[in-house]
Amino acid sequence: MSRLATNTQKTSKEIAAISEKMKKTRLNLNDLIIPISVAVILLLLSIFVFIPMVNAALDYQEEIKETDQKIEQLNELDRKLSLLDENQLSDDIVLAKSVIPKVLKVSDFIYYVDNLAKEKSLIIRELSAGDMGGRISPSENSGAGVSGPISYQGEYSNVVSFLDEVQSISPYIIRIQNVEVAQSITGQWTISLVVSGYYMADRTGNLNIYKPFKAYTDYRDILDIFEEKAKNL
Amino acid sequence: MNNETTQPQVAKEEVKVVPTPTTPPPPPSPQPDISEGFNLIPSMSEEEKVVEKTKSRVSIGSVVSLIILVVVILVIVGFNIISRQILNVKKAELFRIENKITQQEDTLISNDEIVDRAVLYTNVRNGAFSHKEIIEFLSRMGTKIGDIQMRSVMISENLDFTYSGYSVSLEQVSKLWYLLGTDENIERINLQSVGKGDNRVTFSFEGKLNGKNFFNK
Repeated sequence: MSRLATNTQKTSKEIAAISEKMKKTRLNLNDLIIPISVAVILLLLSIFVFIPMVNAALDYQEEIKETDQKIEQLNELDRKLSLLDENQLSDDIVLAKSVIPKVLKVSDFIYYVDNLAKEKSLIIRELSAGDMGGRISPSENSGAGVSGPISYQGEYSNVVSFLDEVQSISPYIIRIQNVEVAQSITGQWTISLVVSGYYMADRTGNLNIYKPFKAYTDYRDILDIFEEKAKNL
Repeated sequence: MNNETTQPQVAKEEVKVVPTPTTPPPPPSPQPDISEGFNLIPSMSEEEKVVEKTKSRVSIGSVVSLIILVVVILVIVGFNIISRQILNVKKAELFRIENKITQQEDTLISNDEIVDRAVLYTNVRNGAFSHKEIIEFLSRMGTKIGDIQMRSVMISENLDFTYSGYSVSLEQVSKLWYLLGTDENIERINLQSVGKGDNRVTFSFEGKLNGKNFFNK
């Protein structure tokens, strides 16, 4: 009996020891505290430190690319500006402003048109003009203008000649519209049209060095035409 | 008598000789190898060996993770710092060249003013056409037929026109109409009105010109 009790006691102790060992091999909450804490810290670091730093670095890279493009553009602009002859530029700006002045007085414009008509022996019937500002510009970036209806009377050949010269040999940039040529009962011919002369005010505001640059020397042919027109001034 | 005396002796001898219970011999204890010394640390059980192996694996994994983390931190921070430095250098270069360009502001403004005027002239010229040539063209058409007299010509901005005059007969008017209708310079022609008087016929055409031959070159 005592042996049996001893064996039983011994077995119980062995079972307890085995169960104790099994418990030791199982994961419990204490074992997971450190890994979970590390994971949370890593997550917070990633969200609040790593990701913003990576985004900032990528923004820097983008900005570097833009800055490189600007540097390249300005270097090219500097190269093109260095090719311009300062003296020639001064002469050409004076020439351009004489043909398309920064201000075109209505009186000057009317004087020129009427003078031309008198040279053609035309008799005035109607002559009026006003400053239209930018409203007669053919495109957005063009200047302003002086415009008005005019009407003259004379011989057919003189009328047609006036019609030709008012546009072709004018010292100003002139546009004629709604032309009507009609013979009256007396045999004289009447010409009625709307004539517009252009001017361009000086640029105001800050200079934008980043807008696309076009050297004026690319418009050499236009400047030659300006030169011809300026001779008639 | 002897039996009585012998019996107690036998009993005494029996009493005296009592066989003791036999105990099993103790198991032979393992004989230690005396030459290597005694091992006082008990050897590990199988479970303990597994636990130890797992612990070492976790430790190595943790160290590697920490190393990776440190490397990633260094890379990110280093990349950030280097990018910032490069950007500062580029911005300084940009500032220098902007100042250089700004010093040539007058040249730039003068160039732009000439270009603006050239563009304006080009825009005005592109839409312009010779009214004189149109009038002479219509007059020529009348002359081709014969006695056609031009009375009035109106030319609009869009190359729409009206052409009126006199003729001696309806036949000439119809010929003029045909001629204008088949000419390449006329895009569209319509006889607006015609009237026959005592000795002349009045007509009025309206239409649209094909401006390609009349635009200023």
